[in-house]
Amino acid sequence: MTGRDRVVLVGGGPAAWRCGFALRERGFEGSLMLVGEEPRPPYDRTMVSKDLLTREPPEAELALSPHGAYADAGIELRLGVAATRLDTERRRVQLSDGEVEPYDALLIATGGRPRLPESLRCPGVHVLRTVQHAERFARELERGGRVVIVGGGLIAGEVATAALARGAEVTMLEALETPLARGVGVEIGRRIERMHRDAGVDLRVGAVVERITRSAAGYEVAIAGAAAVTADSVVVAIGIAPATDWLLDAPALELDDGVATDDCCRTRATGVFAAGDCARWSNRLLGRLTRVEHWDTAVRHGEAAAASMLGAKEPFCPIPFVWSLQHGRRLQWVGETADADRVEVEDLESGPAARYWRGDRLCGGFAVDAPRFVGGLRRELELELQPTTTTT
Amino acid sequence: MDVHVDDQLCIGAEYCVRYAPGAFEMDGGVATVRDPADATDEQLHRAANACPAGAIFLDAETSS
Repeated sequence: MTGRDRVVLVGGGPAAWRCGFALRERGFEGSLMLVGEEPRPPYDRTMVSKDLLTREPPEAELALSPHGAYADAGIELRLGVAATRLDTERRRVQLSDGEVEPYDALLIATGGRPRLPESLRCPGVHVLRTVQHAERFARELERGGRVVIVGGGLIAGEVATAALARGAEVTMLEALETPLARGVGVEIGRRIERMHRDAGVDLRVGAVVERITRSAAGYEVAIAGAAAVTADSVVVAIGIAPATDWLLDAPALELDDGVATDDCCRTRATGVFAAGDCARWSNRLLGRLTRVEHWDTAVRHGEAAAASMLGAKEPFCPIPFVWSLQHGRRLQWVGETADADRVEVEDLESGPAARYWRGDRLCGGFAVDAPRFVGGLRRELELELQPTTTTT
Repeated sequence: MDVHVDDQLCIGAEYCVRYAPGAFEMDGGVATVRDPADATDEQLHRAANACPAGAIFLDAETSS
């Protein structure tokens, strides 16, 4: 770009937020617009399943940047407006308020929407992705009662933590043999399972939910081959799907569980970039396309997209870093733990910890309440995984 | 309250500067302690708890 062009960032999450400010920090002087579907400027979505369910955090904590920072940086906010169509040939994007915005460079960073398969659809069932979702569930938590959480992953564990803190009875239904089995393996999963039970969660594993129905008495959650459970509130937390429906008639883009890009965030369409939860990028470290749905990666991805828009050719290949706060404990993991063929579990004084290996190479680490253990593994992975300039 | 950021652990997520502005600032992508007196103990605890990297260490015993 020449520096006087027009950049449109589609998305109101951390990737679009970081991309906008990074463009200015890197000297971009053209016009810059951020289009966000939600009514508020980019905020800390990690609070949706935590703080927003237990307290009312002040705006300064929730907002990623103070409102005035956008005006100061010359970033025009178009909030409460969704992008509805992308014309990659004429390089313009249509918005839900009827406006059509031309661009020289456009970032697709529309994130994801909670997965809610047909079998789990029932009026009143909660999902948690936005402030609005959190506010609605928090109001329901005021009356305590029995909460059933479908799912056993990070969001599910955080919601269980908040619901217990609010005095609810919590049942968690995990379809696999342990929580987080796919991400960190069964051995660590069993320890997480124990952690939930010790905290007072009625955790059922191998519980595949078939149907949710509602009557005057509340909800009934039917489980394959087991007795149904009843509830006053039901939360479905089984992951997200990339929010790319608005791109279905943009044939220049390759859509396959996310928008495909090269390792510099570039899609196949000229001037169109993608980052964050909705992007599937060519990961040089793994030799395949990857899509990551975590905060730290999304922020770094936004920064990488800004660099790429301005002509840099630095491949985006961050070492994934994930954390979660559950039952007062800090879960952290680094690297590609799901790729491991061997897991070495230790029980440290602080809690469970593990190193993950693929062949004879370290590929990840996990620990509960042991930031120095995880930090050490992160540095080891950085040394091991960073692409070197020489090839053998 | 004695506040310490382990710069080897910090990943630059900037949670601390949102939760306890004044107490922390960013320096070259890494958080550093500016003035803990600029935040309440509650803010400092929240910042330490929210830090994704677990890089903030508080020592209440040395608090004046």
